[in-house]
Amino acid sequence: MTDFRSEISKAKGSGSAKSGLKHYIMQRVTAIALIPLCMWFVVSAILLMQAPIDRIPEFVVSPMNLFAIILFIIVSLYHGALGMQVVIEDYVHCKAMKYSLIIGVYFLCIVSAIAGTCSAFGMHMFFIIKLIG
Amino acid sequence: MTIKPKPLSPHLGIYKPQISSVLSIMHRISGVVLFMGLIFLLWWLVGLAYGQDPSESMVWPFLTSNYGRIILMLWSYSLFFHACTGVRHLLWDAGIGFSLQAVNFSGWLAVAVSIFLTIIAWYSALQLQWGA
Repeated sequence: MTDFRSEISKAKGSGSAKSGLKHYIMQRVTAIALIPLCMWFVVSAILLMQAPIDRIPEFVVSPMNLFAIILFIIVSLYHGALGMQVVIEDYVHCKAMKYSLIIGVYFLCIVSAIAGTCSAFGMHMFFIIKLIG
Repeated sequence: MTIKPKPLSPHLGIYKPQISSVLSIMHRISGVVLFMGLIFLLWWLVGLAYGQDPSESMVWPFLTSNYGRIILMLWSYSLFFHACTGVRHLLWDAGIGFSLQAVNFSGWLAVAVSIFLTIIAWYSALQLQWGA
C-alpha cells in the first residue's frame, strides 16, 4: 500500500507525532481484525470456564484454537501498543521520557507476544503428543 | 523576578459532563485498563504453560476468590465497553452517525449493549454446562 503522505510533509515532519497516517490506518485495521478475534476469545473463555477438567485438552489440541489464540495475542498487543503510543504522546511532554516510554511499551508487547505464542504452542504440542503417545 | 502564573478559565470543574465527552475519555481509560490486564493475563498463560500445578501457586487463592472474580468481571466489562465504543468510532470513520441525535443515541446504545453483553457473558460462564 502506498504511503499517503506528500513528500513535502515527510520532509517537514509535519504534525506533533511527526508521522501518523500509517499508525492511524493500522489502528483501524487491527480494530476490525479484533472484532471476530474478540468474539472468539470471549466464547472460548466462557467455554473453558465451564468445561470439566478432562475436556480441556480437546480445546487445546484444536489447530483452529491455536491459530486464533496466536492471532489474538499478536493483533491485540499491536493494537494496544498503538493505543498506548497515542496516550503517551498526549500526556508526556518531556522528550526523553516520552521516547523511552513508547519504546518500552513496544518492547513489552514484543516480549509478551513471543512468550504468549510460545506458551500456547507449547501447550498445544504437549497435549497432541499426549494424545498420540 | 518570578513570574506569577497567569489565571486560567475554569474548564473541567464547570463543564457539564455529556455522553460524548464522557464516553470519549472512558474509551481511552478502558483501553489502558485492557492493555494492562492483557499483559497480566498473557503472563498468567505463560505461567500456566510452564509452571507447576496452578492451584499450588501463590496467586491462586486470590484469583479464584470473589475479589479476583470481580476484577475479572470489571476487565471483561472494559473489553465489551471498549469494543462497543470502538465500533462507534469505526462507524464514524466510515462517515456514519455524525448528527447530534445519532451521536447521543449511539452513545447510550453502546453503554447499554456493553452492560448487556457483560451480563450474558458472565451468566453463561457461571451457569452453562459443557456439551449440555
